Amino acid sequence: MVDGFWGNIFRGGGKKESNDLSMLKVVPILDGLSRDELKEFERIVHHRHYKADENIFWEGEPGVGIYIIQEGAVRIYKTLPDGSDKELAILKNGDFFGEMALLDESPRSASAVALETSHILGLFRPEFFDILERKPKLGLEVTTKLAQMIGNRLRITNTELQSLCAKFHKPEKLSQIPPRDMLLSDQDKNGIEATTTLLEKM
Amino acid sequence: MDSSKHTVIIHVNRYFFSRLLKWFFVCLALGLVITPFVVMKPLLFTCIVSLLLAFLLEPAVRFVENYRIKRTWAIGIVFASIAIIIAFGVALFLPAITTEIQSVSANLQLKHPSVLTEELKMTIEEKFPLMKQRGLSEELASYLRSTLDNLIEKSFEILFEFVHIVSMIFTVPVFTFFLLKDGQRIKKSLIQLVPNRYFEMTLSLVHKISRQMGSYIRGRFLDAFIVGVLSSITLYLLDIRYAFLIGALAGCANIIPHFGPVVGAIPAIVMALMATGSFTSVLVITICFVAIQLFDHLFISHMIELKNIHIHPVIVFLVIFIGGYLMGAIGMFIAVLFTGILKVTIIELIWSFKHYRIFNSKQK
Repeated sequence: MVDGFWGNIFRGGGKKESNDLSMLKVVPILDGLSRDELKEFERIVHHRHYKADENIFWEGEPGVGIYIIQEGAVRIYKTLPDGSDKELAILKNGDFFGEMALLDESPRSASAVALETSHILGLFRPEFFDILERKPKLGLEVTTKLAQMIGNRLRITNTELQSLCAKFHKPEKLSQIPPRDMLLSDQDKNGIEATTTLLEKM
Repeated sequence: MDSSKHTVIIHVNRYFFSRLLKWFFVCLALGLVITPFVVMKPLLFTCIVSLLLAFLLEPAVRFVENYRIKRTWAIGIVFASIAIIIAFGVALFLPAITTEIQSVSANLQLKHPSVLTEELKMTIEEKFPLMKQRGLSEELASYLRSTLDNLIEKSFEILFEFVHIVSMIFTVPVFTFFLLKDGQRIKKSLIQLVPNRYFEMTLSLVHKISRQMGSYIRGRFLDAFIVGVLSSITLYLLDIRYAFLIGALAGCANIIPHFGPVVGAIPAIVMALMATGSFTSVLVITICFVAIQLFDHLFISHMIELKNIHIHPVIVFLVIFIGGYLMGAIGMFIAVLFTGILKVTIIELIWSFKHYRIFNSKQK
């Protein structure tokens, strides 16, 4: 229990600090920011070290922020109702996950576990909101990018859903799909909920 | 078979002792950090006052920062503005308050306590002849005499306290400056030390608590300030002596919920009674104070969301008692603020325990 505590004291960080700025650029919402603006985010970044098989977060827990893998590998999985795990993705250096938690405290949709010893950067909502409050202009820029990212994802989900429905040739189900414009105008969460319900019916 | 059992026991014991040793060192480190604060009360006071000030000034610093000004400069601007406001305040209100304080202290110093109490006794007997008949005025006078004697004896202690206060005038701004400037960094470094399993929970908990704590402290002080100003104006309009002093006292007392308003009204009522001796003025002042409290409860405290942290009157009473016993008058205020903070912490902790799976160590 205290191992992590001592590990964090004697972890000898610092050598990877210079790399933080380039790592942050990986995240689409921070892409295109000036060096000074990126430094604002660099100041709030947390460095975390995970051993192999150590969980980063669990499905259902309130989300706190986004993680960017600086070194190592992370497995994203969902626990199915029968108790078995379904692997969703394996993420490597430079990948990021959990970005939806930057918006609100809604529960994590999947669990994340380190596959090997990993060094991960964390950008968390309370400090992220703090920047938005202190630097509203920068905040507007970043939140617009976040909204664009979510909008893009919703568009992709809708397209995939439509092609999936067409593939299964179920006209009665197809008629249940709300018009594309309506889905797009809805909030992301609603869109995903509609998608999940339809997929369950199929 | 026996040997394998033996090995398991040794393994468990070794694991247990290594954990015990680590926890021992953690406790030792915490003890080493906390002890100086407990031993040196002025240091503790300085830290608490600086922390309260940092919470109070944070919104002002953020407001300046919004104009694309660096944080250090923003803090500097806020400090300079406060210095200017204090200077103006001193220039405007000091003559009035100094005259009031001087008149109070002159009354106490020029006349011997026994003469003063005798005068008071005479006044009371003159205005309330009923009290003389029952010997109540004599009792009151002797009680006041002994209290005043004690006060003079304690004045040397107060002088020593004064030295601490002067040193605090220099140390508090410095502490506050660094808390405002590096507070975030200090918080981040402390959160970094938390083990991975508790990390997300701690991070969210710390931020929620500090946000609620900030709004609670700011709310209580803003509320006290408004009540203080309203009381001063009312007393001034009613032409009560020492209006500003009593108003300021009523404002300070208002930091303590439930009991503060009552305690704050007493000096005003006593002063009115001594000046006029008529119960009509007492009634008028009481009505005014009740009206101010009503206004405060119905409008002000709702506006600054003080109702969110409601502390039960019995708990407030107990806490004031403990705070007063440990640290005197300032202790009472600190204890009340501390209780509010503790309540917020407990509420957030319960929420976190319900939503995070921290007790389940067998997670995959």
